[in-house]
Amino acid sequence: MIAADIKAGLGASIRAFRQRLKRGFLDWSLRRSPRLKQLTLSQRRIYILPSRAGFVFLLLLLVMLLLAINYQNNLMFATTFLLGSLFVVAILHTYANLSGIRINFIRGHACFVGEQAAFDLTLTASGTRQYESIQLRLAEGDGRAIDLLEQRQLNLSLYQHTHHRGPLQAGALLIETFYPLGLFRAWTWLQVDLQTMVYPRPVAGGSLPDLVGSGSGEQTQERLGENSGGEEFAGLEQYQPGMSLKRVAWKNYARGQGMHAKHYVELSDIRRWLNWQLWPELGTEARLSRLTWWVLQLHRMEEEYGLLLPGLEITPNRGEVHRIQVLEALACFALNAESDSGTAEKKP
Amino acid sequence: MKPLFQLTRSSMIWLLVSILLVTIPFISILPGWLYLLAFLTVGWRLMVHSGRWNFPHWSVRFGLLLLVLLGLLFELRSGSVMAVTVGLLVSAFLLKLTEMYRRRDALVVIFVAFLLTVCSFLFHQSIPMALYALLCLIVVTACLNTVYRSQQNSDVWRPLKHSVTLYMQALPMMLVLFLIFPRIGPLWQVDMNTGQSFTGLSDSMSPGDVSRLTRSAEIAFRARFDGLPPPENQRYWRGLTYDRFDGRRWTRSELKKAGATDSELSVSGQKYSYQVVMEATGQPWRYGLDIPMDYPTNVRRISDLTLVGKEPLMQRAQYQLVSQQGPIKEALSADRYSEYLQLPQQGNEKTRQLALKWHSENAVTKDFSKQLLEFFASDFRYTLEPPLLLSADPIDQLLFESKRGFCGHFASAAVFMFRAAGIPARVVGGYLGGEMNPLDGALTVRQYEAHAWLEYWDRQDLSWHRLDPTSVVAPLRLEQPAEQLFRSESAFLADALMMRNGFLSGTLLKQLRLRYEAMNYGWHRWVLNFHQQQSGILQQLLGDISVLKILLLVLVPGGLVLSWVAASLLFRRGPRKNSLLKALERLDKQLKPAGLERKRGETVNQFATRLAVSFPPLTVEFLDLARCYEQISYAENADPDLTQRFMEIIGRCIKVNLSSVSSGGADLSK
Repeated sequence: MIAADIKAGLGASIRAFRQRLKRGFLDWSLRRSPRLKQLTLSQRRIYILPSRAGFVFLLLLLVMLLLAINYQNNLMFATTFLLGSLFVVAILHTYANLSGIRINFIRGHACFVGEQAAFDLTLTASGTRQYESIQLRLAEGDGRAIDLLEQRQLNLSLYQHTHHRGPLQAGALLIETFYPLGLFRAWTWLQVDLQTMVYPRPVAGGSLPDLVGSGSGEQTQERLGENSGGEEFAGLEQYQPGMSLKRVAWKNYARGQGMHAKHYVELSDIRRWLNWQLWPELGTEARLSRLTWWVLQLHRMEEEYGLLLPGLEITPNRGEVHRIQVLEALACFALNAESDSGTAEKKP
Repeated sequence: MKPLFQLTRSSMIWLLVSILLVTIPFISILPGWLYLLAFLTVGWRLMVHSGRWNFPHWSVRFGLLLLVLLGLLFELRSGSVMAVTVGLLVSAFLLKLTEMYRRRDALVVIFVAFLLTVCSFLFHQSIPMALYALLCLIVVTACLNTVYRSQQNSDVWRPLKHSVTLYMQALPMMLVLFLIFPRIGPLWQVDMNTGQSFTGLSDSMSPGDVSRLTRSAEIAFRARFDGLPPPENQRYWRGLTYDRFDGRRWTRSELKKAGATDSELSVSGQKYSYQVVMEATGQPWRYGLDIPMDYPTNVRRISDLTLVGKEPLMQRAQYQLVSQQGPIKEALSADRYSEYLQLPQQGNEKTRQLALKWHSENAVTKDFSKQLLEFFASDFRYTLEPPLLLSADPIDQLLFESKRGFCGHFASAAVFMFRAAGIPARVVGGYLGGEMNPLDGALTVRQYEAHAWLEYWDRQDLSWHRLDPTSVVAPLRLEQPAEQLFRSESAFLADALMMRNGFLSGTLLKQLRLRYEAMNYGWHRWVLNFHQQQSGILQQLLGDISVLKILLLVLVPGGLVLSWVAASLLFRRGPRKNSLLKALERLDKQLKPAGLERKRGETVNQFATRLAVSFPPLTVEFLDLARCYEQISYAENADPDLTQRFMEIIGRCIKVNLSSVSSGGADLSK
């Protein structure tokens, strides 16, 4: 019983030690790697050690050598040395399978809490060299294996789990390869110079007071008529896929003049305020979640909306840029002031 | 989160091929029921592969494992340990097949395959086998490569090419390691018995035994003389002597006795220095020409002046000897004297009487032997298939009735007569002859050259003398190669019918055979027995050996090769340009001074159009250039003349001094 306990304890402490060792190595190698938008893998960044299979292979070589010595068999010696040399040559091949790759960090894609944040990067092969089975993985994400053979350049997205709202720095990037023989693992940890924003998780619920503006200043809730000003023709624009079908000038279309959309200088709409005070019964995160959901709703309905948070006011507007501004405001709301345990940004 | 590494279908196929290739050399060694297991598991695996069956339940696998272990335990009682070990590895292989779907499983199989390839050298060491093993290594390595390949890559031959490249790059370092790695003795005792059976002389001989060996053309040993080899009729290779006779069989009694030292005996004849590469016999004795005077320390010379090793010879061995021919002067102690007179109490009375009669007629031993030879010379016949001697007095039957026999019969009868006459004598078993290979000067002695003769001790000069009754029965046996003498006998090489043709036929086949044998001899000397040559070679190479020199020998070539490999891997030149791009580059060079060279991202069409604007006199040419280029690059079946036209235009454009055209603007001269 006690022995088993000790054994288990020993196992745990060894595991803990290994974890600490790994962590320490990671920190050390990240310290050596500055944040860059573009970098080329070279001997300063690539680490190479025998993989687990490599160590087993060494053991196998030892067994072979013992056999050769004991049986005084020169062909066994020759085979052992051939495999030994293969082991050494494999170092170079594994290293070469990583070195020279150029990595460009392109952009990060915003997402909502619980979704996976995507980061785009581009890998470029150097010269005519071919790269196979290279695995890329963000510290807290899923891996991907890629080849760079005929294709000299590859765009790919890596994903990272998100747990907290707020700005998100991409985790350390692990690039590793076991190719060609799996006897060695060449790897590198890179600091990824990409950030993105993680918006609060949208949660449906509540209702907006209809057409009630509860802003701080002179809320205007004028309703601009759709046909006011008779600007029908002046506002026709080329229809682009994705435009609302409501805006299509069907009459013109029926006349065979092509698909056009009516463009209004001032689209008739209702300006709404998304106010922090709307749902006092909810906690901070829940409120932010609900506000986020409403932002999405209003954006979809192409309405104009503004945001009122304690200490922050965004005037009503619409459009993609506005939406992002509002969502970012929600994502960053009270991040520094609030509980430290919920720090959105992972320590770089 | 780590990805789960599943084996691709293509690497599954590679694994099956590797398993098959690696197992083939063991077919003759493995117990028969393992084939059943192989069929079962490979078949099952193929069904899984084609999606028709599922992997077997764990209980089935466990049951199979138990059965295999029981079977191997059973084999252990009869077979050799090595064969069982190999059997264990092979069945591990086969059983793994039934549960192989992850990368780790594949690694187990591949590593076992490497081990088995090495183990195959315990059983076979020929050149073809070594090449085959290299093939196995390459395929297994390719298989290892496929395991680490990504799914989308489906080029079938790429892993194989990759593997060959790897081995080419590994070869130089392997050679250096092979050359300098110190060959120390075995670390512990191992069972050398591989379960093989050997052809050759055995430690007991009934007169008919030797003729059985003529059915085989296997090589007994090879020898290479430092000077001239002895003449053909003097190539008596002694193996062992028989001194006890029970009426039918000769056996030996003096294995354990230490031999006389050189001071106690003297041999007067010619000395020969030579090197022997002896095939495995499973017996302790070593062959040597006549009396070995200098011999390596790991063998000893016993009292009958033959060589005996410490262990039975289970592997080909190589040793250097100095031998001397001629009568051996040696004082016989009383008990050895009587030992060499031992005969059964009774039997073969007629022979005894004849011997006694001659003895009384000839006081001198030499005369006795002369009379004996005359007797054999009279009307005896030498044949590979003598009649069976089944009577109670076989020697009487041979000497007075059948009168036909092989060397063993004559030697045995002659020793009987010597002993009956009170002269110490012994039967000697060994080989007579050897085929000289003119290509490498090595003498090859084969099993069919097995021979038996005798030695008697002459009281007058206290010396052992060699006597070969066969030499008078069939004088040609000494002069001619055995294969010529026996060519009409159907029993000759009966076990090697393929060889029989090769040996009996003439020129071309013989030439080929000699070449192959010379190659084989070199293989045996320089590779298989390298450990016996190593120190000599190193000394030749380095002068006196020092640690520094050895280190240099490793590091310099190793470093050179590795840096060459690294350079070839890391500094590959840019993509190979086609001739069009090269021509464009030449044009570019001309334009550079004016700053008009092709910009990054500019297509050839854009580039040419821009130039056409810049150089009004050449507008037509440049537009034509762009058209040609697009035709060549993108048209489905472009006119082959276009390339030539393209080059022409470029040439014309370059001739015109473009930079001056652009800067001057006015100088349009062509």
